[in-house]
Amino acid sequence: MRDTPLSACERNFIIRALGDRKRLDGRQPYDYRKVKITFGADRGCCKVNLGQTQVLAQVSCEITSPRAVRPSDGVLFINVELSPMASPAFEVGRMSDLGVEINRLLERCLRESRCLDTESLCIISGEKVWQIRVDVNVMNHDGNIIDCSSIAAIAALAHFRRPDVTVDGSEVIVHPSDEKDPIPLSVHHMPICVTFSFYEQGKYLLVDPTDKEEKVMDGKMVIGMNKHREICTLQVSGEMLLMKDQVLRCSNIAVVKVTEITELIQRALENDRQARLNGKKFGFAESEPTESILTNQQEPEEIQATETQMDEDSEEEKGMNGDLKTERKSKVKILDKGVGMIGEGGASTWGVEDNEMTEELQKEAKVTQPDHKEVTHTTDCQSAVSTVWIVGSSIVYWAETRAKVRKMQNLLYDPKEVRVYWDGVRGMKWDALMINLQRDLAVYDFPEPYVLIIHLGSNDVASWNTDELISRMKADIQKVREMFPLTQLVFSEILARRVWRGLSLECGEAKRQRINQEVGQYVTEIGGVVVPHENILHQNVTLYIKDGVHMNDFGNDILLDDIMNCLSSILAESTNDTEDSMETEDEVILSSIDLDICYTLPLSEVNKDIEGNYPQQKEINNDDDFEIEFKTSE
Amino acid sequence: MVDSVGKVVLPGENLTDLLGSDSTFESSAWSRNTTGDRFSDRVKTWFLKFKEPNIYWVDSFQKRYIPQRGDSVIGIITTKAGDVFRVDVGASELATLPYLAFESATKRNRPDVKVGDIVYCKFLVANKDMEPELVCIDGSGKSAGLGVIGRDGGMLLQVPINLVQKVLSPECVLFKTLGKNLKYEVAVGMNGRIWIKCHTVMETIAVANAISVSQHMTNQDIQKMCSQMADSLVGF
Repeated sequence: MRDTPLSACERNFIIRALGDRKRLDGRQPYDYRKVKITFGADRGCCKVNLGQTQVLAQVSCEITSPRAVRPSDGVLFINVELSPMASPAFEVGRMSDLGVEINRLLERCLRESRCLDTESLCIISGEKVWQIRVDVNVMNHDGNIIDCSSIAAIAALAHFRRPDVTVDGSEVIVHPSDEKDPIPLSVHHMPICVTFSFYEQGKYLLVDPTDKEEKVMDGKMVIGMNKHREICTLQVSGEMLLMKDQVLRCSNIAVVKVTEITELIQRALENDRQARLNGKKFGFAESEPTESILTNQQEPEEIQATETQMDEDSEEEKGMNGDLKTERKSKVKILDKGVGMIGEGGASTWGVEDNEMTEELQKEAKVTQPDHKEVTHTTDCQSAVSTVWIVGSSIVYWAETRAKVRKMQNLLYDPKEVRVYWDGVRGMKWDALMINLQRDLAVYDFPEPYVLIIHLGSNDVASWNTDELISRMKADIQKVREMFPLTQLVFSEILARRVWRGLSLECGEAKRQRINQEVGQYVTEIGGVVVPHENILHQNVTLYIKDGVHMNDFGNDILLDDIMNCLSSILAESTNDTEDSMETEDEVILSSIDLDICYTLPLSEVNKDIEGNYPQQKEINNDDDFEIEFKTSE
Repeated sequence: MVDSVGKVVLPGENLTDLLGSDSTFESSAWSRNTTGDRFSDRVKTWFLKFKEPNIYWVDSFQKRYIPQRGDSVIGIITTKAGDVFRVDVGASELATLPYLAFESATKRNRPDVKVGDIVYCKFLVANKDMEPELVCIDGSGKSAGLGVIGRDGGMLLQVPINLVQKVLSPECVLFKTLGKNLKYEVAVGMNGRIWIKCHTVMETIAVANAISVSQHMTNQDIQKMCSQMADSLVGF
């Protein structure tokens, strides 16, 4: 049978996507697909899934006579079979070119690198030795069979146990497994092959190509390496020429990948060992999902989606019926005694609204709009939670990631009192500030902030004239002031960088300091606060990751500390105010829907994020049948 | 056996109970078995479904396409042979597409189609005895949207057949929801191939992912997923 041909349209699309540094499955150019290693019940049986590519390796042993040239060495024999179930292009019988190539590569990688100690396989020198045979079967071909097979082969070799033998003069006794425990092979190191594919004459480089990407590539390079940074094999094939520095760069990338994969193999071996030791079930049957009919198994797709609040959507589930009603729950804001407001006033952007009460409230809102400013405290009416927004560029994004890792996404505040909303967008420039703020308010439904921390501008330093940039920043900060008149503005100073794109280090540093000084002065004049980051200097190499721009874990921790210190001083002032305003909570005419919200849910539920991990609130979950968990990405 | 609607049926199961006293039995190409015995075997396996007033069918997850006359499919031109193009439609054999079956094509005026192009075409002949034939014009000689597509970009996606049927059904809100937030162009072939084009590469990849994950989603889930995706695209 023939394989589906690749159309010109797909080819052009893949190349174009590479130009944008995008891959079809959303991976980064140097990312591997998900590797899943499972071991069978038999010793030496290993199945590896690399994305959709699936390879099964089985190790077996036999006693034979050794080769004449090496009488005291065992024999390692590798056989790769491309079964027709892997791809319609593979045929039974004669091995195709690809099959020969993979076979040869694996032989070089495993046998010639001496990863297996063949001398320990000798029984009687010159007469009897063990022959270890590795059969690799490719079960599904979705690109990069070589990597997958090498992982499967080495994992199977490490998993295998051979029978124990005793030599009695010239008699050899092979002990079955119930008499004597079988012994493992002595594997010195684990060589793993890493495949790089090249496009446009070496311009673009991808690691772990899928089937489609392989069809488009100009050529590929396979590096077989172990975690001790020793290259076991190197092969370049295809119609292209490579520069020396590209080869070196690839080997550096391979070091990282090989280390990760070796760790994964070790972990899988350890898990299997533990399972066998503790008498638990092991083998393939355990790793497959049961009690479900599956013809199509799909890993959860990772669609890039920013975190949004899920709890509000779940309220609408009852009303949805296939029509496109995208209403979002609106919070009722108390304006004055007996007056509540939903929405921001202005024209109604709702579709069909069958709730008369809210329309009335809207009218009242329009009338009482000038009274809005009399509210002393912009917090949610249903609970006295102070909201903090942290808006900015990739620095904020990575700080959030670090905070999540340290399980302090809410900056160690009690979510009932302070709620932190992160909005860090990588690559964000100053122009996008207003748009992002409006989006946070309207689309993501962040409640209006009590404190707004802005960390932005470093991506503009190189592209704008300093004076122009400063005046734009000041103008936008003024606009933010008007948008949130009661919010405490905080300007987080632009961080020092070790590398500025388009500028020398001195120039970038000077610009940054001037911008920080002038904008900081302006912010303090209009009543805001400035967070300096005195401990993050470009001379501190230990705070930056390799790109010289972003913070590593240490740097991010300092950043988080700075923010928290600033916040605590602001919030400490405010606690004196909160006590007064709490007593003036008013009665409001609420519609039936709002009543449901107020009376059936505990107050703290309203602002709870499903994805947040606040252990003290988990037990409340049981009562809620509104909230439906929906996992899109892992 | 009316209660077996919604359950899994296997080949060899007897479904004669489903027939009323005076109903006739029509079976489609996909389900007739080799001996032609109308009352017993089904060749496919999976859920038995029922649609008012009188259609029972076996719904299954299938990836390989079987040509049906009148189906619109997306094919890839593999070779030229004499007067025809040989087109791969994902079936067991290549289909033929004559040169003259394009709008305003004459013997002198050959259509501008190269090997590797994608064409949106319809089956003229499709049965188990003959080689399938495709055309890119309708009865009156107009192209009606058929013909070469993908000349200026776009991406081709391969999905199982039942997903295509789901996505094209009037109840499915996927395309409508996507259209609320994104501008995109899509051509859906009944052989499981979908061609998608948006302004940017990222949007195209996002739409392609959205379609492929909606396979096991309900309408509500689809709406949620689409709105999340649209937000993340807008927010860079």
